[in-house]
Amino acid sequence: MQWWGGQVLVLCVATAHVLAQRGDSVRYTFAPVLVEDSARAVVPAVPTAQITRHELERLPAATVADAVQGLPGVFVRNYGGLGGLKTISVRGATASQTAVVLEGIRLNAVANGLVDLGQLPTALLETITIERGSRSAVWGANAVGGTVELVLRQPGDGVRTRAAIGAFGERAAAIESSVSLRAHTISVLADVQSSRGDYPFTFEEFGTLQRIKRTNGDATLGSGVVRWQWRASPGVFRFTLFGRSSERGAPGAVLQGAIENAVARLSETEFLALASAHLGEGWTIRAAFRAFDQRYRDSLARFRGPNGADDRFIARDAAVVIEPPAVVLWKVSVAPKLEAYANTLRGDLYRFRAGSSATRLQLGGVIGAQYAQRIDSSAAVLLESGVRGDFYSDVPSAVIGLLQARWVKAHFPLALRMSLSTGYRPPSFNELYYQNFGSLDIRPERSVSVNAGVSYQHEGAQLELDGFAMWIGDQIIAVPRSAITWSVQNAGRVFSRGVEGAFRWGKPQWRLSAAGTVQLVTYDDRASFTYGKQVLYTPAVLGMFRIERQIGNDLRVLAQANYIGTRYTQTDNAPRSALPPVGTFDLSVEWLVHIGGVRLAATGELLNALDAEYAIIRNFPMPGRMWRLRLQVVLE
Amino acid sequence: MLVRCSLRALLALVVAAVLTACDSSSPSEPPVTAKPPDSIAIVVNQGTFGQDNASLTRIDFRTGAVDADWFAAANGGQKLGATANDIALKGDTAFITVTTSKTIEAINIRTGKSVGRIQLSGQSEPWRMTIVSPTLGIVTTTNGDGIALFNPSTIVLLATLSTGPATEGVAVSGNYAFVANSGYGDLGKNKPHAGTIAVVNLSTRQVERYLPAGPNVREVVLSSDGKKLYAFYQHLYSQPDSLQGIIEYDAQTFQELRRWRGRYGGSLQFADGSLYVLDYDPATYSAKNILKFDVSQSTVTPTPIPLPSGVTANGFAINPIGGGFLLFDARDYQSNGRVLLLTKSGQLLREYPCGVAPVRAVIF
Repeated sequence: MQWWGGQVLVLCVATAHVLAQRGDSVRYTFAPVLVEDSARAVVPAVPTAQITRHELERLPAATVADAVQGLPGVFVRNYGGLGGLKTISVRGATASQTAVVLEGIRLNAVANGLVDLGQLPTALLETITIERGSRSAVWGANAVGGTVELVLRQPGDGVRTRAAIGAFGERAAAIESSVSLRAHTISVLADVQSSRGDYPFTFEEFGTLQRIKRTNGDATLGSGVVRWQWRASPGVFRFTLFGRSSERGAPGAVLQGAIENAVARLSETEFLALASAHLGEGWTIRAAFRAFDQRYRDSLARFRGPNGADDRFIARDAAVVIEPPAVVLWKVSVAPKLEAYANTLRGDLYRFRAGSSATRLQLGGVIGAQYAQRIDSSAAVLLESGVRGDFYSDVPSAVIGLLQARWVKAHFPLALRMSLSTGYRPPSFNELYYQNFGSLDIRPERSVSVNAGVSYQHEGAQLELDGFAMWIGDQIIAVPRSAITWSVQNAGRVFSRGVEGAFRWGKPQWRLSAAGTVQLVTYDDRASFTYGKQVLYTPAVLGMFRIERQIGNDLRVLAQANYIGTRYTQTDNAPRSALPPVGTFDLSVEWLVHIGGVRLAATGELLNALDAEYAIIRNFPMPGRMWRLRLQVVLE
Repeated sequence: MLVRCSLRALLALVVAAVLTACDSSSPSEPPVTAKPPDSIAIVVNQGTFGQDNASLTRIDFRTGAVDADWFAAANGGQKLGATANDIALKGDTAFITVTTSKTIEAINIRTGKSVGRIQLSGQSEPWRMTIVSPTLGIVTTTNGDGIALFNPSTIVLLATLSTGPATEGVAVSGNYAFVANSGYGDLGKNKPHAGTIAVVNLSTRQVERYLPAGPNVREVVLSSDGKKLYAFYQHLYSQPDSLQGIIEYDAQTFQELRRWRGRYGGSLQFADGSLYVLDYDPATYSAKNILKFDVSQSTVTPTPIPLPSGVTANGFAINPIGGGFLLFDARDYQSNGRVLLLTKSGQLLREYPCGVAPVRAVIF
């Protein structure tokens, strides 16, 4: 640990760990630089937005998808309703180009590279952290546009319960508790949510405006966490079991004369077992096993057979991560990491190379280095680099790198950062094996990203401004293979650039948050007629403004506005393919009461309070105005 | 997540099967009452899956005027529907099959205004169509595994018949309708009568027999005199190395006469004693030629008519006015396409903008 001037503290991870973990997370990243001043600001090397547990409890957000919309550079592709698919796009990258990491384990499905953020309740989470920019050198596959890092909640002592009711049959309940006994701590969290999802919307059918209800939009989600921690000096051992199950309708587009998938159902069950051992001398070993089963049924899909479609997808993943302690060589801190992953998928609709399943083995290695140089009594420069190699059993291997530089000044709380990184995404199993769609010739996607930003803090205010550019080559896209079928190809080139800003200001009675993104995400193949056109579903402007007011000790009011700019649904950006900008407004009022050792919080929420009629994705209507009542009871 | 993808792929498979054309004209089709040559083309644009953006484009070859979204313009902004696939004429009325919306839209070809609509139900999704007489039209109902009969004069549905799995192309000669039962390739290859052509007696409204064709038979077309029937089969998607095929039948005796194998891309059509089909190029995922078969010869060697480069051929139409072709360029199937006016030898004369994924046209 290196101090100087009593002002600037560079956490090179206790005698210079370059790659560090944070808390109980198995986060594996470059260490943050902590500028210790009156605001104690953390200035990360890449633009990062974090939502803490306390913010999650204040926000009108039931799932991760609800919580992250509005963060800089983030666009949630929301198909509507509790059960509708919700995927994230960071800086215009696709959902499969964004790594989603739970407790250090990538959740991106090996089948399609996606994570449905609508299936992850905020009630189970301690923090949601989104890093923007290519971070493959740190996180490995999929972290091309950014990374969503989820850390499970660590309940305090006592019992905390929550219940909610809302419009369109919404019901929710959650409980969390923790018990400590000597060196052992056992924590339990559970969350259940359901909704009928039959919200009304206006639809023009053959020239006539109709007010109809969304059908087959019901959903029931259940999830839970059991965690055991044993502090056996000098080590800490943890075992975490995360599980979730859902049963929901999977309604498709609302079209004239037809509602696609009007009776289609989707069932999912997922278990993630994670064991970690933080040993003395800086060694950390983690192991994880994940089981994910999915079943899709559509009795109307008669072209699939007399009983329609009944497809199963069964994935099994295992991971082992070993992090030896860092060493310091000539003032440069060097930290290695080794990873081994195994992914297996079975499914009805695949044509595997052989047999009825496909397996991917991956061996990855990372070496990170960090060098800190003091400039004067109050300023320092940090240089960081990382090289990662991933070797796959079924697709070409990848070597990627990362360079980061930060300049921090203590007395004047300003920090500058720059980074240059490469990224990659291996083809998913769908892109390799899905019948009539996949191709064994597909190569990994590649990216190069640059970022330059400034962070400034003063008297409770924090302003961050970042500019970025990202080139993605060999993007995997579906193209017509013939006049009768489509297939994947490494045919796409995308150029994304833009500016992101975030502002926060807090006083005991007031909090303000604002975020804005102006980006241009365009096709970059000069030979194509789509060159320079905006990529499908990449809004050029995103914005969020939130204000919170604490009135006395027991009343809190939150208002939030979100803005999503024009999206195009045709690659030539034809005017009629434009989806109009969306503005929504949410309102929340919380009332706090203390009765003896019991703390009560009653919250009323009005979502989309102005009843905007809109769709994020064409022909997938979103709910109009919704209300929700929440009650939280904490036994301390 | 995964299922979204699988579903999309399935939809792609199903609806993408639309992307080739078959000539639904028949000898008994009534002549257009409009005074020829008006030099007008009405182009059907399929649109994109799930987008509800099928459209019609009207091209006036004399003035060069193009109305890229003619139906909406003529009908107060109303959308045609989701995934249009075919068009046929009866007098001054054009009938358009809008597959996913399960409608047969009738418009006045002078004004573009909707004059009626037949709404099918259940699994019946209208696909290809032919007008047999002023009182009888036939449309295949693909997922409904059959055909629907309708009256083009009153725009009323008459009956539905089951003919086989995944009906696609249809043609009529005399009292018989020939219906291609594709089975959607691999999806229904084991279903009864998949890969056959159902011969439907229009008097009894019964299937009299099934003609063996080939895996994934998708298009049928008749010779100008109605004596020969030609069928195009795609083969199975799971066997991409397998060649496609064209079969020649005697339309009276139902006997198979000849068969050709090759890299064919569909859009089978007959004109002036010759058969035309797209020549599929696996290297470019598109067609680089239109192949012309002079079927009057006992030994047929197809003549390639080279197409302009950089075109994603989603079908073509034979231009009855002055010869040549209209080539439908779908580009990437996710943007507005182009209609290329070609000479008989494939030379590009002019191009016109149109909607997403143009596939069929009537020219009068």
